[in-house]
Amino acid sequence: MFFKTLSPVLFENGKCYWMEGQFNGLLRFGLDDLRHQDSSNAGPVNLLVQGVIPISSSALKFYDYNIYAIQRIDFQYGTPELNQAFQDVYDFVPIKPMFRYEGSGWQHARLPIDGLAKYDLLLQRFAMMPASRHKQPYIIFFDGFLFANWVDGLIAYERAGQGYVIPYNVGRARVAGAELLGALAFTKIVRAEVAATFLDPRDTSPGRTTINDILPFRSRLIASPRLRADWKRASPRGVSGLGGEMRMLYQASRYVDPAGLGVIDEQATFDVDAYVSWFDGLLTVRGRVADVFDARRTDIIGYPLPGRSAYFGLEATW
Amino acid sequence: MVKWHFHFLQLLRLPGALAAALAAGACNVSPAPQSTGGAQLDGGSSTCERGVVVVTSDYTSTNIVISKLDGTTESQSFVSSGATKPGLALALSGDVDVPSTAPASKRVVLIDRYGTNVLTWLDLASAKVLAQLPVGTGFQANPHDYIEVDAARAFVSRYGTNPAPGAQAFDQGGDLLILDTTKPAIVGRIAMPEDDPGLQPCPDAMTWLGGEVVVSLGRWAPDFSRTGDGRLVAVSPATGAVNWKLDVPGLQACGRLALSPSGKLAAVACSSKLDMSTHQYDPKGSDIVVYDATVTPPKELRRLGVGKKLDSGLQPTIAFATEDAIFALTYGGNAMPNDAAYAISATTGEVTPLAQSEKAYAFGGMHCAPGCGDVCLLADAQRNKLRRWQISTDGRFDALDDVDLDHVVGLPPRTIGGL
Repeated sequence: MFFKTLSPVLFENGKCYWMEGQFNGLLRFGLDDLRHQDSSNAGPVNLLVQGVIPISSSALKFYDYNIYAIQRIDFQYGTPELNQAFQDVYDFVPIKPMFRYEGSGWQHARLPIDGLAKYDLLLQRFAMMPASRHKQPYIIFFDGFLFANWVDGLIAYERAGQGYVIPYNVGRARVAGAELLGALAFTKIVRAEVAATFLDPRDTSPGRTTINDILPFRSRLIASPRLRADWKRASPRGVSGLGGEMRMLYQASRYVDPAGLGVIDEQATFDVDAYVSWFDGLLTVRGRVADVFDARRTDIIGYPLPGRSAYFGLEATW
Repeated sequence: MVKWHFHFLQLLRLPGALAAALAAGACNVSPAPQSTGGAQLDGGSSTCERGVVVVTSDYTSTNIVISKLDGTTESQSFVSSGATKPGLALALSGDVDVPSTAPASKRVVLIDRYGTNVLTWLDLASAKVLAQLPVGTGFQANPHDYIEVDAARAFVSRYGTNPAPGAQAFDQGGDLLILDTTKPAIVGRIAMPEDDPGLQPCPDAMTWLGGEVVVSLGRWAPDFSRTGDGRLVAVSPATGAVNWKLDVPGLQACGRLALSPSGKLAAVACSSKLDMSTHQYDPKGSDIVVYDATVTPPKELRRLGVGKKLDSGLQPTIAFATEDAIFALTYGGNAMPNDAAYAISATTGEVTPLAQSEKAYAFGGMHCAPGCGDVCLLADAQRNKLRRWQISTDGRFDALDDVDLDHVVGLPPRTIGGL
């Protein structure tokens, strides 16, 4: 175990003070595979598995009288080569969670930015890794953030009397949650992933009169599992790649008003897409069917979103 | 080696699936609170109402509370915006009002106003919806008040005027719609008079005066840039004719004609035009006018000079608490930043302060029941309570304890109607 970073910072900018600290530590672990040990191949490769768990990656930020608390959790499981890759990536990507609820108020179960970056780099390492006697049948990857935010003057959204959505000020709020990415690469071709955002957004304004305190237009869970396959080969004269994806977007039910009287039910859509590439990716044909089961979905009461729809594209890249 | 991998994956899969199922179920929000049901109120009498309907709202969603005449709650959530699962709209919008005159049918009537334009009739005892009727007829009709004129008919004042009428029947607006309440259906309309081509009549609150329905007209320009002096018109329910009109010179934005318990006096409060840049009312255009209601049309007896005296704009809703005491409210923003409540003598204009809010636009609906318990109620959105006063025979207002309206939804009270 070693501690990597401890970086408290205090800034003053006019009347606005903020302090930020990041504290990282890694715990490595390993398990010897004695059954495969032989004299010709001693050393680290004798380890069957080796894991790396950042045991502490925390940030506490005070900004403009608001408090952000962030705890990151990562886990990767695989061979020593991949774990080295993981550590490289971990060194490369700083802690940087997304507070999407501060922006437009709309949520999407997107992967955490740095988690996604790490994961993509790991997949690249995985794809480039030469076959060895210790085969790598899969990798497991997990990345997540736990966060809590105590904020004054949050902008939330509610349904106006005329039916559209308008912003309003929340005197005081506490938003806690987690952003998670879990992935399992079965082979170098097929992988399954789940991204999820858990949110517990509460209106803590002292003058609030309503019994309900859950902020409107925020689902407490948005999850997006997907199964993806990509096959590629160097082929300047023929098919050079095939792939496809099945994915689902699930949104838990949410309120449309601060009083909690209007509820948009939980909803889920299922999409599929596929592509074929020719001539080392020079030409690609893509197809996508969105909302395959034609599920009724809405973001605003009175304005249903489009149902089943198909898209087709032809791309040339050089 | 292979077996080891198999077990590991199985172990991983099972709790993952379980956690996903639990998380999905637990993360849904609770459904909207169920109705607390109807209310069993005393039968009332020819002179006394049975109770009051309190509209609680944050202008986004609405909860209806049924209370006794003394303000104690009988049904905390009679019906609300969450009454049905939202389809293309909520069950009730955030702009809901109730008739200022208790419906003779003893049904609860809700007026869903701008943007929805729907009337809803409910049974008081069961809280069941009996009927709904759209009164928009293709434009933003903005219904403001409802009064039942006999066992089968009602008038609905439509504040909005259709800029492009002619697409369907009864789509002119600025009128009283005539409803057949037994079906229900729209069966006619009575156009409200407006002689200034730059103004629209904007029919608003209605009340009975003898055998006529008196309507107050807002008289606003379509863009609300200009308003005419206040005007009251009397409509004959039998013929649908406008029998007389009575202007209120020098005062603007007048409210409902309030009648004293004996019916001998009437009074109207006018707010004046709100200056949209300063958010202040003009006290010179705001006052209470007292009329002799025994003659037709009512004859002006006096103006109480309250707007100038208080340096405020009066709220357009007033009520007689006794034969002399008028329960009135002022808007904040002029002399003081807060709303205020007063008892005002209809004879002398003497003003007795009763209450103040800490914010503007906190005081809203009011209701007085002279001779029927003698309690005046005030909707205080800031405290989220009904404020109450017991009225003594000599016209003194004695403050009672505030009343919590509901512990189910918690929206602040805005308006009060009779039952």
